[in-house]
Amino acid sequence: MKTSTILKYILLGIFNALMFYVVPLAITYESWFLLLIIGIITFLINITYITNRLKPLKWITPGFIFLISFVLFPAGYNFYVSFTNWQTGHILTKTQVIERLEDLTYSTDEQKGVEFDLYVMQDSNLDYFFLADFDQDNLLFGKAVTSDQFEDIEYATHEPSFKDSNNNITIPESLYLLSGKEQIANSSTLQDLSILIDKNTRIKLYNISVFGASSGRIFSSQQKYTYDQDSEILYDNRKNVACTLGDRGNFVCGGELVDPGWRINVGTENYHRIINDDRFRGPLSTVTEWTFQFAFLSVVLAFIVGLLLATTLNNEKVRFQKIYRSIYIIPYAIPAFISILVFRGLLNPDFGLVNDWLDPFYQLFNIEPIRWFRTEGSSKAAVLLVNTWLGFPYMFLIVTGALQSIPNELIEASKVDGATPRQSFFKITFPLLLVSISPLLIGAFAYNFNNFTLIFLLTGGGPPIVGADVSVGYTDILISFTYNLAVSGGRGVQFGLAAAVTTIIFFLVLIISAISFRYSKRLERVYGNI
Amino acid sequence: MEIYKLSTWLKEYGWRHLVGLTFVVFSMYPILYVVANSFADFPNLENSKLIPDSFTLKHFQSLYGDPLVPYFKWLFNTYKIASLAGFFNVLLGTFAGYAFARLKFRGRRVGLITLVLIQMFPAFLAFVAIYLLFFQISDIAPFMGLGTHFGLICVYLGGSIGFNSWLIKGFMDTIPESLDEAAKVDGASDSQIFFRIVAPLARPIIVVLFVLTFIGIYSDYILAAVFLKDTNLYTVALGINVVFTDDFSNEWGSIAAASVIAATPIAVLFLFFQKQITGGLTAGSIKG
Amino acid sequence: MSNTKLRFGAILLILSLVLVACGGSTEETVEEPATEEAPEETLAAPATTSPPPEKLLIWAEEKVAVALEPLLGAYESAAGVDVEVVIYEFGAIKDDLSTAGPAGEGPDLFIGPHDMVGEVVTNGLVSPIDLGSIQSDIFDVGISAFSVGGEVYGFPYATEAIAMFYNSDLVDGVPSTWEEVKAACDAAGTELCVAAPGGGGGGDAYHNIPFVQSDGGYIFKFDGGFDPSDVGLDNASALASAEFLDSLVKNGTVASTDYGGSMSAFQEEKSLFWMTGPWARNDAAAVNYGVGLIPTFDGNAATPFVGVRGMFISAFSENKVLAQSFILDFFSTVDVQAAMYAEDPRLPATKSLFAIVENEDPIAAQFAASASNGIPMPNIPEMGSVWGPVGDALLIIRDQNYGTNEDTGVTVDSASDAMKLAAQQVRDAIAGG
Repeated sequence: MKTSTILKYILLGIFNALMFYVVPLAITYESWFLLLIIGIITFLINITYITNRLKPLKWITPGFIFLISFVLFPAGYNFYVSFTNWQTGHILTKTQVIERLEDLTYSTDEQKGVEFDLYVMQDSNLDYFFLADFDQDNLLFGKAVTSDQFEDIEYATHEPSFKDSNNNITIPESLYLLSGKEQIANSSTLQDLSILIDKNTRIKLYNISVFGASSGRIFSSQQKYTYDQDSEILYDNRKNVACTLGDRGNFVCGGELVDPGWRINVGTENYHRIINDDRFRGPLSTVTEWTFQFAFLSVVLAFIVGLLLATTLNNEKVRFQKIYRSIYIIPYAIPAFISILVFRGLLNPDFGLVNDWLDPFYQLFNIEPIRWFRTEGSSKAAVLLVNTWLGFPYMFLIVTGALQSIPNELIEASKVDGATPRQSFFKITFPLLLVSISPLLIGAFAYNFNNFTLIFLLTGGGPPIVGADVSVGYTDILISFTYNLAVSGGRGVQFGLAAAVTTIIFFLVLIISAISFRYSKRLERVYGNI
Repeated sequence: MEIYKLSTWLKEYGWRHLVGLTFVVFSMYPILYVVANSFADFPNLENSKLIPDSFTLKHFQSLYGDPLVPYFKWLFNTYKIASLAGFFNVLLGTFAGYAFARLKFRGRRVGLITLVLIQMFPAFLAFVAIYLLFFQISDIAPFMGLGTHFGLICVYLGGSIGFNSWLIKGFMDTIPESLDEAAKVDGASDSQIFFRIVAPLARPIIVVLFVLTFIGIYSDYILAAVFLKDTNLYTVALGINVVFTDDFSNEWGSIAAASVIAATPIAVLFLFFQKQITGGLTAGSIKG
Repeated sequence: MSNTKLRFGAILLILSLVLVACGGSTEETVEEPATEEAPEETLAAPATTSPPPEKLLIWAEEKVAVALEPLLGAYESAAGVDVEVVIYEFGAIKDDLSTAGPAGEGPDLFIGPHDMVGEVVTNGLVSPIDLGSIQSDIFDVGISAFSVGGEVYGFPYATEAIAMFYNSDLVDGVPSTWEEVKAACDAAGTELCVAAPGGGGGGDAYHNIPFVQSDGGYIFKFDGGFDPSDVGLDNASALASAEFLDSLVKNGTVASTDYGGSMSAFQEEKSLFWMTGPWARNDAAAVNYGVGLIPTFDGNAATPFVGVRGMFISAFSENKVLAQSFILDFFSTVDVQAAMYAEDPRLPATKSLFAIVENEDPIAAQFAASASNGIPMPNIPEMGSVWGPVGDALLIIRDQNYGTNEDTGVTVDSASDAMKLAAQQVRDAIAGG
């Protein structure tokens, strides 16, 4: 006993020491997310294992930690994003935007596209010098410096002495000419250096060539934008205007927005849009209705098939049951996107095999062949058919596993009481099964509620609902509908909006699940304590 | 006598085989298509013929020997990641399930439902957050950062613990508590009861969950794509998506061949796993 | 008992320690093989002290990586640079970039299609490049595809546009008018005539666009740049073109097929023609095929969308001169471009390589001819609001799904109605964006 306690504290000590070691590291790297998670986990581990009173937590904590890190944290992050204007043009932070803008150089129209050979040299002080070879009469040489030293240096001058009579470059002995390879080795430094031609014009190294001569380009000596931290004003040096802060996370120069902008907190605006925007509201009821039908029927159908197969084979005397079971697992082991496309082909109304098989029926009953994917009904049927195929192996496995937990004595007892096999199935086996797998059914419902891949690959949401305000189809479910809206906004992708929708869907699913759990609690009361 | 037997057999078992075979056809038909495409000279999943005009092994050959398509490494990676993540996933789920089933504490049901509810969050946007988180982890602990199997396995461990613990808890509820009580009288600790009595008896559901988690991870592509950037570290699902697909011209032959090879061992392994699933509650396991 | 308890306690703790390490991250030893240094090498480094070799990180799809692989070694040793190519699924690059770039974890260079140019520029993720003297070697369509606001944002290396495959066992070429196409099909007696993606329940604005914009219709007015406020999907010409498509569908010239359906129709000789792009050459080889231009519309050459692929410089690259040099000094050279073409026969975007390819590969020349009639796919972010509505409208025409919708009460009785509806949806989306 004692040794174990000592060992426990040693391990806990090591763990805490490691965490204390990691925390400063995380701070240096400004890893705030990580820090938060580390904090939560350290706290959890310590309260769990220091005291002896929280016995259940000892068993739950290890798994819970992962749930926090990789499910709860992303969910929280998503929630945070839903309150921002994170969208095309607003994906950076303000600091990053200012850095980006201040990083920009520019060339006037006449400076643009001028290309010339550029030689890089170094003197014994390790200072760099550039020689720009425009032509025989413009061989400009000067000390290359960073922009904050522009005040201190002289302008580059024409130095004809750097060329010999054969037009080859000759370098004075005091200077060392860097090869392409050497330029590249120092390119991190060189990229910030320029020589000044005059007050407004500078030359920069642009292309380091290892196979030929390096080349330079002409830029204005000022950067494109300068930001003044105190007044929060951005100066556009090219157009010579002052830009102020807009209220949507942009600089505004003379009425025009500067890209990129940064992301800001927009409060509940994304949620307001979902509620108030006609483009969302119009098709929403149709889509929501189908989403529920789809998710519910998908679970029910797959469950029925899975249950049928599991109960059929759950009899030791059925021969080849192992082989049956192994075959049923194969659809699950083939990547879904392949199977979905195979089904698209099978169901093709013109060439597909399904219509080929059904042809005798069509003939017999004199009906029009089904125009798969072209009509509302056939598309919905196709979606459900394929999802049943994709989902039944899961249900089959779960039910097979859960059936083992139902004590044979109960069924035997009911037989003795004179129940038929069917009665004992519906009175005993089935309810007990529901009790133990109801959360998985609810989980499967939640999964299908968001089953984007299937819809996207099988029907693409189609066929379109003609006349809706936006592009939306009869088989679109909430997630595919909003995905389309989020990517097809006026100006690119709207992550903030998508996050708000995801949050709403999440809460919707939560509410439904909570209700289902209430129901399953009733079941448990009746059947739980046998 | 013979006739009587036959009709009894039909009544008792014949319909079972009928149902069984029907669904064998239902589940295998699209698969045959995939298999046929892996041998077809001009594969096309939306083909109208099951039997291709001309057969070739070139798609299988394309998976072998090309250093840029290290398919067998992918296969190994896939099985490695899926078994490790599957194992720990089920282990942690079993721990939690045990606590909920056997250690009576307040808020048990609420706690378990909370776990399950958290799990409902759609992974649709989760990967951005996970990506960001692992940038930070990469700086501090590169051995489990982006690009590592270790990190990926950790993420998978968050994947289904809620659902797993519920199912295991439900199963453990049906194991008579009298067994624990007896052990407790003998002086066994919680952990002994868990490892010696409860866990072995819950074997069928544990195996089922392992298989499910294994296959779920095996076919995952989105999270793997977030993590793995080195061709040699890919999983099969990721490799297929990155290497064999293009806007329109997917290499269906190689995709089909790759899927067929990868899926076969799963079906075969499952054949052997079955004893574990259907071993039943009573048969000899109490000795465990 | 204490023994087992101890053992269990230890196992559990070690386990949670290891596992917690995953969740929270701890440190053990950092000398694992494949670790990467934190990106700190930009400061420091005075000359002559030999700094560590510069690194370039490139995100590219598999085929580009394969093509570069044998050539990179020479560049790496000549330049003393360590070039790492990370293989990506082509479409996934943009998504990861917007997360990884700002976090300082992104590449120096990456490849992508030109239609994302507007978005990545608006997001501040890419740096412009002055192509200098090599710009004159690039086809104009490539340069305009990569231009935003007067700056060029990448080096275009490949272009592609759809044209018309024909079954050369059954027909000698693609006639220049749709009437002749129909006649050729009747003569050959195939079940379907032109198999074109974009029908059969699979909306596809990209493949259908020649039916919209060949005769005066347009999505966004092009005048130096695309103008999202001028949508021309329902101008008189666009409506006439749509009605013409309707007649082609009605008389059986254009079949109602999606991409997969059109492919099997062509492969199984059920259709005489297949309207798609150069990526399909391997699949088309199931039959003997040739390639010709898409027939004209009212005497005007068919105008497909031209897609251009290029290499970009990340705005978050810490060594832009090096990144520029990689493109200008290495990637844009004919040798490299030729290797890329050999791996993935999309049309070269450079004139010098195209001159070589044209002679060797008459099929490529046909696709090039088709592309030369085309216009680049609009590269502005507003394009996102076009694909859905236009795909849907053309799908109605292709599948002849006319009628009154029960849910919305809206009647679409003609091809013109469908186009008007699409135009309205596009305008609404842009206004509501």
